[in-house]
Amino acid sequence: MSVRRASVGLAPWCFVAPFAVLFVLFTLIPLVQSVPLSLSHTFGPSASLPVGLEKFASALDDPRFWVALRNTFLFAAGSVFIQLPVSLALALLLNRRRLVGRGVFRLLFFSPQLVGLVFAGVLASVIFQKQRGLVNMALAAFVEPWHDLVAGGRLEAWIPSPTEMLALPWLETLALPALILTALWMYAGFNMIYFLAALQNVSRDQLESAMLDGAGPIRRFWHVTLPAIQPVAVFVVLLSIIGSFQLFELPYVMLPEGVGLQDRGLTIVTYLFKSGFEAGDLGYAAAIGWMLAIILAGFAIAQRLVSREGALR
Amino acid sequence: MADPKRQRDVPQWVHAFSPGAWCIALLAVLSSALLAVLPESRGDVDATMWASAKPHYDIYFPIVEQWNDEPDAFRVDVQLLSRQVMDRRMIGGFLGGVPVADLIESERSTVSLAFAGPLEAVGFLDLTDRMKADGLLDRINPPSLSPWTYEGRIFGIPHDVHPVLLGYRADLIEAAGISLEGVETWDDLFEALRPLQADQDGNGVPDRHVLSLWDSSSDIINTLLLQAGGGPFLPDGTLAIDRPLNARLIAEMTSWMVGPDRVAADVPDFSPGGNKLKAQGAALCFLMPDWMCDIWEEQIPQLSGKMRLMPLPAWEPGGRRTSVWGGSMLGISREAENQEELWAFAKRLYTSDDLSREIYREGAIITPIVELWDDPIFDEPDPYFGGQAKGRLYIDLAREVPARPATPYFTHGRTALQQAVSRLKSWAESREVYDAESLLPKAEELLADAHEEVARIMRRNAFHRPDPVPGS
Repeated sequence: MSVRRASVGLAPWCFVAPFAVLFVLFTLIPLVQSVPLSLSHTFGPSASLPVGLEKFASALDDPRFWVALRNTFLFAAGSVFIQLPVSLALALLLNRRRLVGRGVFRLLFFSPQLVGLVFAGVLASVIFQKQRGLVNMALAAFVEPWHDLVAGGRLEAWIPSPTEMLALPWLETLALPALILTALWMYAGFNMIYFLAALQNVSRDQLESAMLDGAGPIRRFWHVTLPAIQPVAVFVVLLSIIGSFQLFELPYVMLPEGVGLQDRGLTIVTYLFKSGFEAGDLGYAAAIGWMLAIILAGFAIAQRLVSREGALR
Repeated sequence: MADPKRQRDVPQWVHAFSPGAWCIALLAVLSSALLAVLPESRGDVDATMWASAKPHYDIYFPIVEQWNDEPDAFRVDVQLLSRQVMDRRMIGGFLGGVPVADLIESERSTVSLAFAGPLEAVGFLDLTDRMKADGLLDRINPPSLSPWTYEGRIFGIPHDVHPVLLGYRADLIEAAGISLEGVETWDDLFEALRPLQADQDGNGVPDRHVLSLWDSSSDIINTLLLQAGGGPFLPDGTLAIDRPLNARLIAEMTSWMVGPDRVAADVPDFSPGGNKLKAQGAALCFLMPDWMCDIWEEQIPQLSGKMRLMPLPAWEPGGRRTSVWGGSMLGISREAENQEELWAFAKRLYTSDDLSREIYREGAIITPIVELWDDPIFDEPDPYFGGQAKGRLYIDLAREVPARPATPYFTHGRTALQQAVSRLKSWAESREVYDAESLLPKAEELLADAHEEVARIMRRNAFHRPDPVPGS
């Protein structure tokens, strides 16, 4: 075998090697090690006690685990049912040919992605503050004339006062809505890019045919556009769900103790982190991690089934 | 252009990669070899120390420089790390076995995690025998040792005492002709100051309240509980969230925060918004540990001369008039070399009268070394507090600060109690139940849940069971 041929044979391995080495070192080995870790109670490298499946059973019996799971599901639902429609609406808006300043809008909507999650979290923690936060000040200014209008009347009890608005505890007991709104600001533009790319591949011929057949904008969207972008939409839904289940930085930066009051903003990864690095129970954290992996694998399988069904149809 | 004949002389395998790729590979190999061969350099220092509080670092730096300049000194490098970074590195070191600094000055909530394993695996060096041998135990304020004493062994030298007094707006209170001289209990205080609760913006809701206390402040809640002898743990570390005393205390505290006649207000500490509310007089009284005085003087200078300090009102007549909030210690890493030299340094740093004066002058912090309390610096008048000798006020109560057990579940206990208060407050508001007596049954129910939550975490710790499974 000539050296030239050997080097050509070696080349793909060399290209793959940097990723492979990092993947093995920082993903595969820790992943494998997390299995025995989840089956033991450890403290430091020298102290370890095998506990079998106790950590998994403990998680299933732990109300905080279920609170974290419920919050994470609610956040994921917020992502899918609020964020993605907003992203799609923005994409449809920017996909219009006659729109002036399309590039500027794209930049505006996408720009939150450029600042990073931690920065967005810090910013949101200021914006959502009680008394002096921008959101509460805006809400107070909005309700003030209405409240003055109904003052002394029967409707007064129904319109909150500006003082009540200023005291809205977004970061404490309204933690989950605050997280959903921040994520909306952060990711709506990002997901919009996927939808925009998909929309630009929708067949113009089909749209024009539908129009000639008398289909209105809603029917064209429902019967032509939506089926055409379905693979991308399913993919974006899966990405959003996975991203939602990995939610950590935003609550960690935004909320008091990273969870808000009464665990209102406790997410599954935050609970994993707190169990591992604030309670020092790495075994329990590993068990939660595996349970999270199983849930995400379930979503991935569901996505494949939906995609396959769509393709067959 | 390269000579084809010379190219033929070069072995073929050399051409598998470009010259640039070969250069990068060569540099990588050389630098790796160099790192492997060279001994680990620590510069010209013999040990490192981590501190996470900037004021502490600023105070230590000249003292450590002086120590390092002595002939044949055991040289120490003090490094300032942000609190979160230090916490992560320390816990990462203890849990993952990676190196940490030889000396670590750490705060209570972080140190407590070091006790989550078996006693022999605690990451800090056991200093009990050294402290006894050097007579240090008799020199330190006894309650200040408690957060660092685990299963009878002491793992750190206390940095502080952190007694708590009541700071109040003398300008507003005296202008109204009210004197707090006869105030002994919290009820007395509320009775005396309730007339000052004012609706300043005319919307029918008072926007000035007597006390800064809210369900989001776990520190204030726990400080008040400790004052009355309550709290998540008994002095021996036993979990006791659900004891009747706690239920009575949180029901009482919650009654202060709810209803049309509430006396407590949400005036957060450590935030610009909170500072503005303080300056505006949103609350008249504040729980102030010694270190808080310095923060106020720096962040709310407009209140200079308008504040005064007094002992905390007691929960019951004759009850304790102070509490404790916060605390740090200096520990030596169990894996550190030169432990005797490190002990000598730590002892010198933490017990020196220079340092005692500096931490008071720069941080308003009272030393736990009892013999240094006679220093006249503590009698100096402070203009911020209308000329009161704040140091003496804190020292007068320093021996009475409640002892706190060292437990790895400290943060869980504190958070669970605070969450119980928060749930009780929400429940009280939704049911419009505002008096402590009526809140008591719900408080008991919520504390039972909080107790079980922490007990569950404790049960998960296989090392702390009476019959741990044999280890691997």
